[in-house]
Amino acid sequence: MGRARKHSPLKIKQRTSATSRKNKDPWVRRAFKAGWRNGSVERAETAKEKLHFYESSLQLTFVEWMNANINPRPGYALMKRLSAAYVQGFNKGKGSSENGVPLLLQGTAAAVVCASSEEDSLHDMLNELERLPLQEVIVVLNGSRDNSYTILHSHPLVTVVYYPELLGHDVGRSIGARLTGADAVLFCDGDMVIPAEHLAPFLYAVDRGCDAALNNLNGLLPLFMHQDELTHCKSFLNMALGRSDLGANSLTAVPHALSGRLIHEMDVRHLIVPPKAQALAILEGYRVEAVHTVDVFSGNRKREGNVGKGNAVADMIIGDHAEAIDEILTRRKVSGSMRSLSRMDVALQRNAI
Amino acid sequence: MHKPSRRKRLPQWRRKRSRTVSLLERRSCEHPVVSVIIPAMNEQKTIGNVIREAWQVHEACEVIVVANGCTDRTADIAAAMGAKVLRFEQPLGHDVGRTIGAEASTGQVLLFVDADMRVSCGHLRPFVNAVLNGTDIALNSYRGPVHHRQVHPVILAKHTLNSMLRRPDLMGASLTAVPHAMSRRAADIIGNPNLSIPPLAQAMAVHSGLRVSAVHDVPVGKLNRRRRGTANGKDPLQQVVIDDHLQAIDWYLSRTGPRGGYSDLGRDRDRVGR
Repeated sequence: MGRARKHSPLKIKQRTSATSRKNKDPWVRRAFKAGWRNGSVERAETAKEKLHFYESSLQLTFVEWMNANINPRPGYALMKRLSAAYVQGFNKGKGSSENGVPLLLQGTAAAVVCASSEEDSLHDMLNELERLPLQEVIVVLNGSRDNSYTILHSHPLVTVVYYPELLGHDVGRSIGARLTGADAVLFCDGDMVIPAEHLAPFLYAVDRGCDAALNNLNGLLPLFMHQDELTHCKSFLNMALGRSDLGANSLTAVPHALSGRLIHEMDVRHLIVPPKAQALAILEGYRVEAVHTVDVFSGNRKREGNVGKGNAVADMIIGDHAEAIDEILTRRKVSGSMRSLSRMDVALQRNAI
Repeated sequence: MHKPSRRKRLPQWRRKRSRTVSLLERRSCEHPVVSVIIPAMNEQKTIGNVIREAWQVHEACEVIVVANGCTDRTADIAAAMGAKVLRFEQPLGHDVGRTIGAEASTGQVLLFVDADMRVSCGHLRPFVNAVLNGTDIALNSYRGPVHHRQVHPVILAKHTLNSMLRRPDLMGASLTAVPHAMSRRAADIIGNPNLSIPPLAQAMAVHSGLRVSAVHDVPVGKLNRRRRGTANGKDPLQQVVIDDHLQAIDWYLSRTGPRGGYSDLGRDRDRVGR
């Protein structure tokens, strides 16, 4: 899928430090100072037992400060800088080295991770998730043949759903989605470690009213002549739904986030076939947007069956898109709107003298 | 072409014509091998050139012009050049002329050409030859402008249809584009009425196991004339072509199941309860 990129863009851009004089933005400096102040207060208090990040003082004081000072809610770019500055100040005041990503979220947030045999990456992956203010992390572990299960024990936030046998692609997502009651649900795969800073925008977009926040891969695509069939199918599906602006973005790609509203109102079984879920979400008028770019092409593990043209996974994804188009056409037939223009009218319009 | 020294090359209209047959005297022969089918609606500017090239495709050929909804001299010009003209007062609709032309044709090979662009006979013969050599449907392998990230919706639809039909090797080749040729057998299997919806015809051809291949590249995109109503915004034809493709996919899925015969790699769907 796509060309291999020379360098991984998943590194987090190091902005100028909030303390440096180069940083002109007053709000970033204020965030830093507020963090310092609240951190100092924390230092005086006695150390309690370790809390989950969402109930830690870092997250709580950040939300409090944001609500008191910043209105309306900023875009993610500013939010990221404020959050980073706040953490920097907090650590300085408290003398700690916390690396969380506090976020101003109004609703609750959760993550669903599908994993099978991913002991190499699962630990790092979950560490990244624990830097986000998530109330729960559901790991759907299916057909694991390695040490993945024991790794999960060291993460107190994680709820494990264990299946000894493989469930098949994307089935885990819908099982996980059924179990959460959160307002924003982040979907990830266990085989790819993505920094928390790159996961946060999806949650933040859903929290701000988007129903499906997709990974924006358009900028990473090669020219059409070099694109593969899957990309064609994804673009065609979006076009048939009247959303050419989404390009080739799809729920098939991770990471993405869905709103609790969408999950509860739509039958979660549709999530087994992600393009179908996308088609239904768009047809029923949910807000579907591509919000942030995470390069998943270069990080994805190569294994048997997903390498090369015409591989089994590619065939399955084409089948998924066929199913999605079938769903659209079925609905059109029911509403009797198969054709919007007649051939004769078009001929008259184009070829009249 | 070799130019004799020091002599200025004459413009086309002053050059001496070196035709072996007088084109104005050609008539369709009794038992044609090739039937050239040209649907036309108000194309008096180009129809003459198109017919002239059509006559040179094969020694034994007939030219059928389906003049529909013409308010200009298209039909008269075609008749004067020896083509068999089928006249219709009302416009038939986009691509419907292909069905009418195919019904009236008698040749072994059906070559479909548009009246609005002149494609020289050298670019038409490869299609006819491919069909005479055993291909059932010979398509134009022109892909259109594909050196962009996002392309024209019609190009995208053509590529996707071929992928769904498990013929990604055809890339953007489609019956929607001219020129293309098909054998009489192919036309019979697809059924003449379905030729009006070219993507549907293509889906039927691939599904029924006909030999479909892209044989020659004619860059028709450059030859297409600019039209009224297309300059400002969307071409209304675009929506028709996309609906055609959706109809073709619908037909294909109705024959092969909702997943188009693709597996889902053993998804355990019942694990997720309601």
